[in-house]
Amino acid sequence: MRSRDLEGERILAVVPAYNEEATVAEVVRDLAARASYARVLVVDDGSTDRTAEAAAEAGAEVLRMPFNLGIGGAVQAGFKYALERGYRIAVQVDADGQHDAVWVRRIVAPIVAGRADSVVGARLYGPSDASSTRARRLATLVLSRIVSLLVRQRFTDVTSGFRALGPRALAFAARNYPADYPEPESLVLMHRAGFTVAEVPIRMRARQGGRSSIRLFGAAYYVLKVLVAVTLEATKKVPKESRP
Amino acid sequence: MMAAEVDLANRYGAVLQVLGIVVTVTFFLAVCHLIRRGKLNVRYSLLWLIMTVVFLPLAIRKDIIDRLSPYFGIHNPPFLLFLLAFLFLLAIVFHFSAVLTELMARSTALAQELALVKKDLAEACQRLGRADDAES
Repeated sequence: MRSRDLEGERILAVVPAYNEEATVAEVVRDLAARASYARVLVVDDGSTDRTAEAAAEAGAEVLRMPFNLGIGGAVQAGFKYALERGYRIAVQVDADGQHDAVWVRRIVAPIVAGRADSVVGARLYGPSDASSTRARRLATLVLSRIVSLLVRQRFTDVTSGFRALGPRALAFAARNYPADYPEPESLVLMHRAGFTVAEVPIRMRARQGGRSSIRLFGAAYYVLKVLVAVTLEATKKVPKESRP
Repeated sequence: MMAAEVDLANRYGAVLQVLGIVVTVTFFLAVCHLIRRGKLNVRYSLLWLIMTVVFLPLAIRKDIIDRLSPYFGIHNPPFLLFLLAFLFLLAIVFHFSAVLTELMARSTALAQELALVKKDLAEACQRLGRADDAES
């Protein structure tokens, strides 16, 4: 694996984790082994289990939230850390083991090449894909169509939490990050702020622990809530000073 | 028979009127008292004060409501009172939702700052500890 070429890019992998003691250490080791050019920061979002200890023992830097902020607040804390410590690129990676570290290279590539400010790793669904439930797939499909319409750019997986932010997007997200449904909302917000967002196909693994936040009966309700949030996000005033 | 009923209604009306005035004035004074003691923010209690100022005349002169309701197309005057009370409560609850959102955003920012500062501190302490070890 060529990793020397990304060594100088100052890349930070931000892993938001809430009660993921079963999988977080493996995720950290996976990143250390197969994305060794990146430093790893686990943001422990007020876990009540041994998530922080497991992450630290596996060799990650750990940022401990005093209480549970939710995924948006935790990820944003990671972005703030990245900004303060002079990282140029932040890659958000889930702590449940769905995101394979080998794809980090592909996700940061458009940023390194200067072709995008932010990149989303979109899951490919194969014929025997176990990485998602049918309800989640449907919710993702519907939301992706809507977000695509709103930002006039085709996206296939707007709920993916596997994404990278380049220097300008990172500075923006450290200051403005949606608190409700950050994955689809931040796409719309980034678009509104004038950033170039790209999508690259990746393959996800089945989650190794924990449960999806999108469950069968909640899927329709989730779509409705995100629909409202995203539509309003599209008409929201974006702070002027943050426009690139 | 009829006269007795009217009499009873008037008596209850008078009791209700006094009760209305006492409750409104007490509430007004309580809000003022809490503001002076720093237990209530003026900006969060302004709506409460306005509410008492609007409701006090209505408690003193109950014919105000009777005279006003036709202008709103309301045939049963007490409905206007309920409508007014409902709108006030709605405004206050809505105001609190906005305040809550702002407070949540601030507590999130504080929590993030705290976590970052604690990490900086832990690292600084570690460096100091190492420096001490190297000296001794």
